[in-house]
Amino acid sequence: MALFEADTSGTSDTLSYGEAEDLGAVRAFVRRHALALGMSEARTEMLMLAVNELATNTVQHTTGGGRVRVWTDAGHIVCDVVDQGPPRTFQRQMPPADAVRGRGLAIVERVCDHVASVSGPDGTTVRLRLHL
Amino acid sequence: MELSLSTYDSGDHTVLEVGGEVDVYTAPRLREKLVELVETGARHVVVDLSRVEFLDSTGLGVLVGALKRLRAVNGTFGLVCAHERLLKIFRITALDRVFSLYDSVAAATAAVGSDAEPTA
Repeated sequence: MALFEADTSGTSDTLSYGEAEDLGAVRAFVRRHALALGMSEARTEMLMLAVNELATNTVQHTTGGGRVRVWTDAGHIVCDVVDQGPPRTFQRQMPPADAVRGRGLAIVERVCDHVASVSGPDGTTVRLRLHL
Repeated sequence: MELSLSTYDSGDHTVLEVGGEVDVYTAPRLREKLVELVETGARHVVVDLSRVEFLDSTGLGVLVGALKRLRAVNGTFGLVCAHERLLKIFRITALDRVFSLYDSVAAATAAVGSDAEPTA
């Protein structure tokens, strides 16, 4: 079942992760691919932050780990973060200043141009898009 | 992935130098160090983030916790953060309006304790 339109660019690559200690490798993977696909250093940092927040949710709140995939589409970097967690909801308020937790997803939607969450038999996919 | 932590005293201030990447894996060490500093009597704490290469929401939460802990004991808490990529995260989360942010340790130690009584 295709939750989103399939990637036909042939340039995508996938990394699986499972534990908190894998997050550095997830960020390095995203960084390497985004830079290679032509994204600026500054926007690559924002994509790394967004993916890191989603992958942090995976390792903290779900079981079974996750995987991340990066490719380009129509002048955008597209990045899927897939895990076994529930659908993610967006249009979030930023938590108040004294909150110690809860900023992750609010950060994700503020640094990306578009964010969507779709759940299906394979889990939940959060697809991030940032213009190049 | 590495997180480096080192502390030194500068007058009334305790400066914690943080280097490397602060995320959900490394943040517990940062939290423990900040708790330890306050428990052992530090009241004017400056965290130098100059050598931090990555900081996420978990790291921000640790810093918010430290700010609250120091306010509870009438202490002060300053952050040294000059890199645009980190400042951007503070702006996105509106925490730039909560933390005292400085571009150097000298600026932080000059400002953070400025409301304290002169000792000489």
